[in-house]
Amino acid sequence: MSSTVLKVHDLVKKYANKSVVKSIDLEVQEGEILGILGHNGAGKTTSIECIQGLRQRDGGEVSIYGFDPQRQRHKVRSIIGSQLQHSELPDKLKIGEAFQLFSREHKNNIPELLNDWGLKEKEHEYFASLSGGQKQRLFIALALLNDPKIVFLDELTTGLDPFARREVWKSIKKIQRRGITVVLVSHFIDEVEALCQRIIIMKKGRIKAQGTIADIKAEYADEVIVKFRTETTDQDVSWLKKVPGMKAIKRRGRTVRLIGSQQMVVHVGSVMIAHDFVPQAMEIHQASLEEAFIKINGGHFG
Amino acid sequence: MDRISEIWKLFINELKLFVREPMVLAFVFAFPVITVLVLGGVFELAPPIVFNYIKPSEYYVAGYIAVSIASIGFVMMPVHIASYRERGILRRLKASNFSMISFYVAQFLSGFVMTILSTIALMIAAYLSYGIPAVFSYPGIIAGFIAGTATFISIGILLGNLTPTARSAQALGLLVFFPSFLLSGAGPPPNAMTKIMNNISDFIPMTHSLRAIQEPWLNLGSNKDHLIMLVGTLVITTILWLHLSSRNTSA
Repeated sequence: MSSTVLKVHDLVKKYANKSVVKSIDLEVQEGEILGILGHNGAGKTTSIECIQGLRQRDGGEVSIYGFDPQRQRHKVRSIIGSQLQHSELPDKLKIGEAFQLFSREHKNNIPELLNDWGLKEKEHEYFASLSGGQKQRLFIALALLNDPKIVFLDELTTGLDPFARREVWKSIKKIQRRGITVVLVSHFIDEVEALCQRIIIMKKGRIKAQGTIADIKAEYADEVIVKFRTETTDQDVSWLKKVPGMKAIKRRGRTVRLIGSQQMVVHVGSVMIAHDFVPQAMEIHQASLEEAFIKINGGHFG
Repeated sequence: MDRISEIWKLFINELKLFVREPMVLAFVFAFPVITVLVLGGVFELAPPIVFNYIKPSEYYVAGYIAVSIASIGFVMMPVHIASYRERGILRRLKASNFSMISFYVAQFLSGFVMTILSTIALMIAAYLSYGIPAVFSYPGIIAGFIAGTATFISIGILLGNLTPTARSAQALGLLVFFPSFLLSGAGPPPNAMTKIMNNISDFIPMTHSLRAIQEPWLNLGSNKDHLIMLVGTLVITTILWLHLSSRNTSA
């Protein structure tokens, strides 16, 4: 059974007396990828920077492997790896030099990291010469340089093309396979859906939802649409109204749309069989995380 | 990693980065050399009273180390610090467990090395053109050099912490550099300036940096007052940038 490696209770951060992080609580289990999702200004980056001790929190408690990042800064820094949003390296720093600079005690793993993250051939080149995807791979490799137990990755794929994004996703999965816990901040829904075991959705400095993707979909977007065609335009399907979980039946010509809960899907098939009804071109549309996200954000995506 | 190794690592890294910036190198090394060669020659025919009966070339050669120091403090350092902050490099260092004190100590060390190299370039140019004037007090020059360099690096770090971007740091640095250059005695000599200009000059750190080196070199009197002014400026600017830096990196 995995143990809790990060605990946050009642975290508060204010700027000029205005709260930007409002009493958040969260826990991260060892070896999982936790996604923090929210649109710009939701307080995601401020929260994880407070959690890492990079910003002074104004209230609450944070514990990473039992250490407080504010009071035991050096102990925490020695067990975490950070990839920061909007953080670069000097343009004329060579890649090999960056590894030497940021390596603290574990210089032996530099050749391995350069190889693993496809940077070996760039070792003697300047940071400025790297592509967006190569820079992000470098930042991940640097975050792993000192054998961290937990890494924080903030908006890792912003500005990358779809190919480079998927390349970075593979890298994140590789980190997890090494047994390292990952906290991933993103505003890309497909990214957290592809990578994370659990997610937290933030809005205006508060956690609005947290759980597995299935939990969040079930709670905030449990509507399922079953679509099929009848043989004729006047074929009676009114008997479907009695199916448990059914919310509405919409019909246009031969096309029928059943709108209901997950429970409805389970029963629809058996009721159809009982009525000796064979639907044509049947499709089931499950609610997406994007729909849950929009609902949590009050119908606004951004 | 202990503090000394951390500072050493940052210091070596900073030196490598400085020598890879041709524009910065050009300004720090070429500007003082070119101006001392030009001004030393331009004023050669000026009436002797203008330079208090000192040869103009000796006046400028003895004072121009202060121009090298000011170039680093006003031009190189602010842009460097502001660029590090603007691009999140300072936060990355902090997130990687580097102490900000180590970072700033490395800036002082690399600033000193750059100033020493710039001074050597200046002395070679002077030796090949006008000759190097006889030195009256080496300890006095060394004290002036150390106090001036430390003060101007501190001013540079303060300017870098006051400005939001590298571009604005460059603008502010040049805005401060050129009036300081013209009013400190590094451009026109004090006897060629009006009383008001000389009064303003007394409040400019570059004036004290220039005289703290020039006076013991040419036996023009004690540089004690200039050293006191420089150390006072160093203390005040250090307190200010320590406060700003802590606010900028841990808000």
